[in-house]
Amino acid sequence: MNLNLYVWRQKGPNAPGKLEQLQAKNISPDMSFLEMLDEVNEDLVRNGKEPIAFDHDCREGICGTCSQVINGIPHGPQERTTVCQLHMRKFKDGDSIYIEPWRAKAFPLIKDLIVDRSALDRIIQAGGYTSCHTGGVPDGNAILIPKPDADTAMDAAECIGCGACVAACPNGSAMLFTSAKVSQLASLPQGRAEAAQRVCVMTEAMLNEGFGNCSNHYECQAACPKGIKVSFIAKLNREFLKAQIK
Amino acid sequence: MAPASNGCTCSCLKVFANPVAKKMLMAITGIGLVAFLFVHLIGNLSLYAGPGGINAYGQTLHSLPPVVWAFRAGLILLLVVHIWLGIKVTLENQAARPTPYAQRTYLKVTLASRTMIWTGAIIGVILVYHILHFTVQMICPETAANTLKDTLGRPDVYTMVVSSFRKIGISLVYLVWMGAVALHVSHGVHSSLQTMGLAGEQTLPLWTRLALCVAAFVFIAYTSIPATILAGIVK
Repeated sequence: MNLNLYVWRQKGPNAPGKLEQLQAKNISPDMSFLEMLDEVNEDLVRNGKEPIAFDHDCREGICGTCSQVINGIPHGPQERTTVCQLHMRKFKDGDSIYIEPWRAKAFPLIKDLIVDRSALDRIIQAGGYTSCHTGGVPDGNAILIPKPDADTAMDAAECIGCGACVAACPNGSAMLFTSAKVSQLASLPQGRAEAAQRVCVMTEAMLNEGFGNCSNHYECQAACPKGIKVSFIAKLNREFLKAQIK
Repeated sequence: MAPASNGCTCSCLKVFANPVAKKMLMAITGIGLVAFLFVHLIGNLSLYAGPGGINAYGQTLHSLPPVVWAFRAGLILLLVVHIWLGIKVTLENQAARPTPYAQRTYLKVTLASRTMIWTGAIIGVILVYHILHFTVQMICPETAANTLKDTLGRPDVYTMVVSSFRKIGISLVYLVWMGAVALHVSHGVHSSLQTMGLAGEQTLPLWTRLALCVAAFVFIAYTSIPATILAGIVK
């Protein structure tokens, strides 16, 4: 396959950026999207040019590091798939592909397609945990958890923190990300103790990081590679109401 | 957990800066305004009972100034909070993405959800026109109900409405207005329920359909009046 790429190139956080047209030649349909970029980079290096800087780590779809908006969709056109798990067979020979970084004020651009997503870490640091005391290891079955609650918590825990929800949201809101963690912990007895505080401090952190407000476009759910549902946002809203009337 | 020993860390003052609190205030004021649409409609539909119906309704309403003014005060409060938050939230959302995408493909957003601020602006501007038209009665002074009386000596609201809507331009303004209201409500209703935490995986699709039904009902019910007048059914 031969492809016509338009890739966002920007030397640094304050440097001007632009879409650069590049050719991807002799690409196998069995390659992943990142492998295709590796090939393009090999070509660029061979020609003495600067390779495209992009984030990647596990390449197994579980680390949430790869972060590219492909043809206007975070993680590209395949549903519930990260960029690393997207294969070139999803594209046709001769296609034009636009590749851009996550765009949000809270995600400052570092270089080319790499953005700094520490803002999500700081939301977690604000309250996305349970306070544990050291001591003996508690018995695994000492606290009974109903199966539906455990399932809800597990569904919410699927979030890999990639930031696609923020990239997809027309408002640059991090509600889906935050709601996943709030819902996961609020569904479990271990997390309930601090549920009221958690929802307040995490949503405040969201505001302080410069994320936008959720206005229920539900674009986040459609873009999430892990299928996190907007029903978790409703759960966060319920937790917030409960915290106010506590 | 480090930030506070117990309870919520949001103080009463800080709570309204919280993104979720802002959403909830938008939702509550929005639901209040949708409820008003239905109350207002009862009065409108009394037009179909002929001059006796709507003129009696108008007279009853104006014989109760404390009730009318209490209602107006409540409405103004709802509107001020809703408009203020709408503008604030839109500005914050625009600031959250300073660099736009060169290429953008939307998967889920609707025309209604993307244009809330604009349909809101249209609703606001035509609301001023509507108040000047039927409350202050400046737009068509020759048929103002304040001066025109019916055979029983009541303000002739019926003639004012019918003669106004016979003018196609005025009917068109109200048609555009109701189009904007319907679009706004078609997103607002299900969005409010989600924001108030009243939605789940099963209920959200139901609320989305409910919102469409409410929007369609409001549009048809309200625009039926200029439509039937223009068609000559209501004379």
